[in-house]
Amino acid sequence: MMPTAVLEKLTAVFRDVFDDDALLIVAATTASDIDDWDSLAHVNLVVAVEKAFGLSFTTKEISSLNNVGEFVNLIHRKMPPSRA
Amino acid sequence: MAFLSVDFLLLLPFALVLFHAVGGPRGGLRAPLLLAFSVAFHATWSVHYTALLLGTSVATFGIGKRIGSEPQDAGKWRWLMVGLALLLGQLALFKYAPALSTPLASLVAPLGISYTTFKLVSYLVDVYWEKTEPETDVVAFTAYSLFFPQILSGPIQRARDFLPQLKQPASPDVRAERIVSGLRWILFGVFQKFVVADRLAMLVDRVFAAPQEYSNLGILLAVYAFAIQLYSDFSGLTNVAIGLGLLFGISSHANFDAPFSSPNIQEFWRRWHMTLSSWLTDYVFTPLRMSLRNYGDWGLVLAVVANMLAIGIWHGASWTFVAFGLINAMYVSVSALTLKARNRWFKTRPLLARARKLIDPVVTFHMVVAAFAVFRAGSLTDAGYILTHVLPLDFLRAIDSAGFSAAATEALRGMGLGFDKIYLAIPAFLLCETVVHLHRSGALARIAGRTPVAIRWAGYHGLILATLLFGVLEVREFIYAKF
Repeated sequence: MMPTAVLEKLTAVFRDVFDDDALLIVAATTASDIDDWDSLAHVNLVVAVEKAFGLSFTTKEISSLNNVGEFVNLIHRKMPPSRA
Repeated sequence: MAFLSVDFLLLLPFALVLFHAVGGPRGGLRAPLLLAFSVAFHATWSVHYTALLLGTSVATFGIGKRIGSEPQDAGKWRWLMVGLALLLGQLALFKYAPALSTPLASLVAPLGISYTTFKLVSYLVDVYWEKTEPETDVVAFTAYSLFFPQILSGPIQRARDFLPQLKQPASPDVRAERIVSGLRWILFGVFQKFVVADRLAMLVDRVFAAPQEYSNLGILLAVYAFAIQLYSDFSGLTNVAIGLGLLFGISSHANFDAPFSSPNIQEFWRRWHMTLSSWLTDYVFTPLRMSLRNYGDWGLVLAVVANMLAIGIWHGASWTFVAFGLINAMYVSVSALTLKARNRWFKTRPLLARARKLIDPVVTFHMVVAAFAVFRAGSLTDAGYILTHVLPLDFLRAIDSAGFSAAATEALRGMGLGFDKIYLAIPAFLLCETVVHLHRSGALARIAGRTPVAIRWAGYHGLILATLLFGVLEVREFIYAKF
């Protein structure tokens, strides 16, 4: 899966978690850009992403993310080669 | 030496002149000088404890380097655990041993141990998470961990935010601007402390010492007064700390963001003692929530309970602090689990949604006021008495017969406190809140920019004069300095 396709799929997950069908995310998007994206929502988001992409993240991986772009790269890096 | 003591205020200008005179590339002698000031400040309280905190900082510096140089994750993890055991073990020993063990009852926690520990823990975890590089300059690092303006009650600044500011000082223009801005923060903090907090303290101290001796209305006034006193005292102290930091060219995060107008309890905690909230979120709540993420809502509740209990018992080994933590855990869990459903329900009811905007902050404020009453109470029995006696009948009867302000004045007179003594805090608090909200919206900077210098200075002098005239100028310890 190309990073652009990852971002597309990630957008759908964001829309579902934040209950907003018009939500747009880009690589530079951070938690401060989305009103409801607080520490409580953050882990719900991680769980939803793990489910959608069939992956599992560590606390260290999640804690070192600074924006959506880094999240996309992390997902891309962790996808098995057959699906990447 | 206390921040607002005469000694401190006399020494500060000399320290500042020296500090700003020794510039140069990479900060010149600023880091060693700042470290020397901080060591001297700590040493006026206790030389032994200063040596202990210095030793802990140097040890953490060494452990940070080891975490960075270990090739395998397992090795990094081991060193992180060694560091955390050292830091948290030491904190727990000083905070809880005196209460739990008779032979250690005389042990007094070193000043600033809590906030130094928070900074050092965040540094080690950030190195482990590769959010920050291990620091290579032990002097700069120790100047960071012992930075005297922040030791009493924060703000808890992260190493990656502080160290670059120390090593690459801003241009002279920016530094001059920071000094002016720092003086404003200090002036505002001092006003909050002396005019609002210490005035309300007269009422709060009396009623909370023996609530059974006061009428319900007296208790009600004291419960509200404590919430406002705590906020004004604590944000006043951190505003002074932020201002002092700015005088030394260090800009840090704000610690309060108009918390009493928060629309829900989660947001209140994001806007109250913000640097501790974000510290707990990063290093306690999120890791816990991540490990419990497959347990659904129960995982969330468990992580919230652990987080809020940590906030509660950090204040000390007392059941009222445990209760404070559990009450907030209940608030946050219920609010977080129902927020989505509530938002959906209001989405289809625009009129009610508009009313909600006004009602939610009022409800949140009262939830906070009730929790703080438990926090301040001398025991759980007192807390129970206070919460069951704030609203019943004699209060309504008193209002009914005399009107609220007459009844309140009567209740205060019963405590030997005149109307003028306590009520002055109310306009002063409203003035502070107005300034905070104007600052928050950016309007304060715009208004200040358009105001002629003479009028601005008249305003500063007015505030100084008001503090001298209306402040309660017996030196009373800041509430949070003891945590």
